[in-house]
Amino acid sequence: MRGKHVSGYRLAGGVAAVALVALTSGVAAQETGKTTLYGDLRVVTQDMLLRAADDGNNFLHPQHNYAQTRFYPNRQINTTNVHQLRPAWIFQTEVVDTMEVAPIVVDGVMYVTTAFNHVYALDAETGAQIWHYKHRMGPITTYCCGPNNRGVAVAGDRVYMGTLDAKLVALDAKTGKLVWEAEVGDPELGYSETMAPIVVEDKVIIGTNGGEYGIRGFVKAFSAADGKLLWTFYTISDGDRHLGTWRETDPMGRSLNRDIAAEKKRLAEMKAAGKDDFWQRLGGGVWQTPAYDPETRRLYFVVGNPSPDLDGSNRPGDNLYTDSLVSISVDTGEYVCHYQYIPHDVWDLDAVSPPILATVKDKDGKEVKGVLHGSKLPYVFVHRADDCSLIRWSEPMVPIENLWALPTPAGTRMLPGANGGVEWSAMAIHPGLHLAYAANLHQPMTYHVESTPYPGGKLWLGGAFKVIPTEEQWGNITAVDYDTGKIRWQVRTQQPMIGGLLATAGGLVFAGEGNGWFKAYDAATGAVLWQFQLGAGVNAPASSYTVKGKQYIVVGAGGNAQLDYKRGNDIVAFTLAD
Amino acid sequence: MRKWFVVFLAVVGTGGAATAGTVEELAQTCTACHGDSRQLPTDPAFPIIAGQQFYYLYVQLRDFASGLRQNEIMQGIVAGMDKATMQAVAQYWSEQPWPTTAFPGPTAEERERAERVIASGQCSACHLGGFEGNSRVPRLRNQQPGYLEKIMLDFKFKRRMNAPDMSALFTDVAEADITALAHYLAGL
Ligand code: HEC
Ligand code: HEC
Repeated sequence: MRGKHVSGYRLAGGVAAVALVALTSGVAAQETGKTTLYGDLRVVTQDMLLRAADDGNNFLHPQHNYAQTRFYPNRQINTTNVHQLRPAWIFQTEVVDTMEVAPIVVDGVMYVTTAFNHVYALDAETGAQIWHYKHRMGPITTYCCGPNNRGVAVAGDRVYMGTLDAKLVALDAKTGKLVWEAEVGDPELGYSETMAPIVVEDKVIIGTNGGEYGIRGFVKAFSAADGKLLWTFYTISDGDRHLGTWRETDPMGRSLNRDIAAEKKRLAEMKAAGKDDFWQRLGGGVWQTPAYDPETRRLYFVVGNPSPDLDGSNRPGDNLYTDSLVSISVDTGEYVCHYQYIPHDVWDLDAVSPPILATVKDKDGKEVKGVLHGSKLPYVFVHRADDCSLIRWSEPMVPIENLWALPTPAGTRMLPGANGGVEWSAMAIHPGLHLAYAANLHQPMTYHVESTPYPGGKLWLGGAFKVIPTEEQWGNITAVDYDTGKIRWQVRTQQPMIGGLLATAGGLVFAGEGNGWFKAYDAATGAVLWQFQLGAGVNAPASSYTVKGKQYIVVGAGGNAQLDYKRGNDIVAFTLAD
Repeated sequence: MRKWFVVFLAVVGTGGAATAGTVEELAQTCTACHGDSRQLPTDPAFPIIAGQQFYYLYVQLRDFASGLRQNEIMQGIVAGMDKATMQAVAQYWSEQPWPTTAFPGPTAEERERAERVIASGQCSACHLGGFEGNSRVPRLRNQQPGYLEKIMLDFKFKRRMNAPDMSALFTDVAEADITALAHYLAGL
């Protein structure tokens, strides 16, 4: 079984390289389909995964490529003809609930997931079902913000998915049969999986949710062959490292209103009582898929909030690496660098949206390898990839008011609300235009603190976030020039945005809304060029692919649990009318 | 009463899985207060447990046993029950269908109040769209209005202490809003 698998791997590896050379050289490459003479392109080789950015046939990664640009390279559907976009097919899943999946496409076969961890393999040309896998969910699940799943990772002849009961499953891509299952964390203690994993060579890499339950966050690597745990990087460091440097300001130098003396006193008390092991319950979930840089063999991901979210009284220090961009070695899981946005966060304004690797201008205007992160804060942050340091931040994308006012028992109003800015929604970039596109929320909230001891795996926010019902909520899509930080264009939406974006070489940006509209914008100007009503919240990122020379755009319309957008169960693929 | 548990424990302890008969016998003792799939609880302030989420039921039994959740009746009932027994009886009740209910539902004014609190507290992010719950999050849909009202007031006034964040959420929710919520959820 394994021997066969390995040889298949090699054969297809060479073939894919040939096919992809053809691809980059023009439109004719769109003809490359499963009729190719070169073998089984459904076996996803490492070579294919590495070259995904130029692959217009497939959508191999949840963010299209290892750099996570969500920039699709074909231009058959473009600004001049997008008005002719029509549904090609509609597939209805068995699960009518919150949908955050990024569809993955391999040689005409699409893999989508639903709430509660169903996986479907579909014919990407017709929408016909090939197989349906339903995860046998354990009786114990502990998750935040809906029974979500953001999709699968594909590699070799397998499909990998994380589950709400904190497992990682490997399925046979041809049949949907379970190959192995590994435990990622203990759901009774608050661990759950909603992110799509990432595969690099022989490793499947996945983080964990649980920052609302007092977990100790991590990113883990499992053997792709058999699910054996290979390494663990804890997002909360032990020793005294999580205390950090007692930084008193945010990245812009504004005071965070920390009482450092009180924090240090509390730490001394805890140490004296032998009860300074709070780092074991300090949170630090990782919600979204890491980016991977094959040149340096490093992973980049962002880490979520400390636990308990709103109550900092019993977690002195900076709480590293919560609310940070972190880079580690893909081979060993060893720490390389980090940048913390908010030390000692008490607002849950954490880092969630997946980072993007891109060439950016540094402070002197020199091109360097950079990392972009769209933040709840609400800025796009631009970092150097080598040492994680901050180069610049964008203009704010939604209003900021009363910033860093501390939560109180009666509730403090502060903008942005705890969902952002940019929530887990993936950004997309257009490398030609040097623009990053971000989906934002404006959702005024009050922040309430109520200190309670660790409740043993139960929800542990240390208070409450409340949406202010009398205030208007809205969203926007913001295009930020990442070389200057200036906002190029901004389009207001009726509701707070959640779901993520897709940009294409056809000069388009696709985004869905909670009210069911799925829209195409001009990537350069933000003009709405096309829209289609899907009847349920479109709160999942779109993908694109080409089968038999025809480009498709596909998106899920299942609504959203967190923002309570109308639920549905549709996967809809669009193509140009003949 | 105690005898039931001893018999039951013996079965669980030796064989792993208890026979259906024994779990049913134990469950019979709950019916007197909680009703079952065919009849509502005997008192408006007693909760429906037939069809409730398994893990939620188990956690509540565990919390009654440890004293984390205080209630004289239930603490008496779980005294001496071990983990396996609690799981078995929770499993039994979770597998029963929820009884048919016909609670009157909210007035127009109550509906408006309830919807405002639900939007503000983001309840459906955890209790899910139809308030059916999942795993450790309880079903609220068609629960007894009298119980819902009592338990939300217990959260508010820190009488129910086993879910600190639900307490925090209800701290500044007005009593009239709680009544409205109870009618709204019961009548869904
Ligand atoms: C004499 C009456 C009585 C009997 C018998 C009884 N209960 Fe209860 N039970 C109650 C009351 C009253 C409450 C509500 C407690 C409160 O208000 O906090 C309750 C609450 C519960 C809850 C929490 C439900 C929720 O929604 O939070 C569970 C679970 C439960 N009981 C299980 C059982 C089981 C299992 C049995 C049988 C082994 C049983 N009870 C027998 C009276 C009873
Ligand atoms: C962040 C998740 C979350 C949110 C938001 C939330 N709940 Fe809950 N709720 C829970 C959990 C978990 C429990 C069970 C606690 C336990 O284990 O004892 C619960 C318990 C309850 C109960 C007790 C049910 C019973 O059978 O005793 C009620 C009533 C309730 N919630 C109402 C609400 C209302 C109304 C809102 C919105 C205003 C809300 N909840 C928002 C997670 C949540």
